[in-house]
Amino acid sequence: MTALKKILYVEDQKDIQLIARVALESISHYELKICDGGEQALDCMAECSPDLILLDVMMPGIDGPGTMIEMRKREELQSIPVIFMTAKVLPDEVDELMSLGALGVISKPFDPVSLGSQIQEIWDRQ
Amino acid sequence: MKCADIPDNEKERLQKLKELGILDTLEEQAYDDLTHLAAQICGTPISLVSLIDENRQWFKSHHGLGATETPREYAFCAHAILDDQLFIIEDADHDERFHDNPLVTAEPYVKFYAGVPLVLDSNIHVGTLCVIDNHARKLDEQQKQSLEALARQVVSQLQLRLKLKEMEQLDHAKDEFLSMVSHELRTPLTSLKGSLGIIKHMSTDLDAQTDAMLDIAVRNADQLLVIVNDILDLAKMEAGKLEMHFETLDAKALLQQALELNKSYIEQCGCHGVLKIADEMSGTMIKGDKQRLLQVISNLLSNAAKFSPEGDEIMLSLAKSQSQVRISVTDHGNGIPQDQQVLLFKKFHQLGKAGNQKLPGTGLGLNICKHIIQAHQSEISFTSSPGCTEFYYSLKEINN
Repeated sequence: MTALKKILYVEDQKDIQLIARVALESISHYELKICDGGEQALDCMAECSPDLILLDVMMPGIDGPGTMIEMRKREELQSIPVIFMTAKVLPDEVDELMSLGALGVISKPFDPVSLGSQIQEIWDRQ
Repeated sequence: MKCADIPDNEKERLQKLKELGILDTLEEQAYDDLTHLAAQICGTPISLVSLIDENRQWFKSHHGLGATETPREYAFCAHAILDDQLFIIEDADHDERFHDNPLVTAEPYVKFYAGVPLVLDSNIHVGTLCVIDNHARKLDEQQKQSLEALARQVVSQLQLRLKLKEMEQLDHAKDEFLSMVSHELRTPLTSLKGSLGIIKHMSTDLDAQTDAMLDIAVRNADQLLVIVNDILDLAKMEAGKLEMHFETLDAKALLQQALELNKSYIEQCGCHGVLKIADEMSGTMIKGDKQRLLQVISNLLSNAAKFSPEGDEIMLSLAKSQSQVRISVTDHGNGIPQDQQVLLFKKFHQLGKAGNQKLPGTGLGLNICKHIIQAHQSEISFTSSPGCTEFYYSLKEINN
């Protein structure tokens, strides 16, 4: 299994983007690219070739699940693993996200200090 | 042949039919019973619940007739909906509107027709309840009145259907609202807890006062999240939307986990938690939603810790009686005053602040516990007197 180096984070809230940047770059030392929404992310993915997509669920425009469904339709994006970030935490809601083929689901609010290791743990389970 | 006029409120009529969501649905007993009765009372081979769509009449119930729809231009029912009263054609062969109608000259050979319009919202005529015979005849007064009464029953069914659809939509709206509120509340909390978490992590050299202020901010942000979760939980429970995920659980392991999860909180309150499990309880299995049961025990333990004097012991017990597994939390605090006992499980009720200076709560905890245990087909109860309070509930033992 390849090492996890580059993460594409898709999130519409600027504050949370900044927190994630500190969490994943400064604290956990991943290479991070951030997109404001699904459409932008789909364009960016092909260009920047991330190892992993960290995808917010509720976003204006195309939402998290919608973005992932689009990814699956495109040959060059099909196999990039996805972890969802969501305030929805009911088992059924989590099951639904996992059934789309996500690697894992991380709930919000998240702990910025341990976010990196949470992601790494999910990655290592592959 | 004369085609029926299109009613003035045709647009509203079609809209109502769309709202009903009834066209092209399966047959239903309620409607079939009514056409059966109509045919019997009127002594006719055929009875229909007919709905007049834009270009066709479609039959929700068709007693004695194989067809499920005909073109609107041939429909007798299309005429019937133009008025409020019973529409009768006693001899179709000799009626200039119908004598050359294909439904008269060929199968099903409609020679007699009596239809009562089905009226919703006092002026929307969606269709009819009708009876049909293959020879000219009449209906007597009793039969006419019975047909009208049965038509009112069909209308009741349609109204029920509309009500159900409305409730489904309301339910869906509630779901969406809860989802949105959850997101709207959790989003700023994510930012708040996240940024505070980072400051705490990065700032190793803070003076005591700044550090204390930071702790206050972190603690209160955590408390806010607890409150938000409680309120959302409660909203879901009250909307009947709390989903339980039942699985077979080892009761002893569950209690051990519960105590472990709450150990530091109990110690923060200056107490210590003790597990009391009889040897025979090893391997005792129960059925429940693990997360929710842990939530209940956590709530009981935190209440016990809040109201216990410093240095005191809080006991989490597991016992068996016949096939009932009893889980209880006991503390040795001052007890719950008599007048407060009846209010204990009510929403937002909290015991008076005297002696409860430790940590605040939402007042929702016990109400949520009550809902969760009820969802496990049981009830949570308590006994309390000065020096001893015990909260308990029982679950059925599962045998493998």
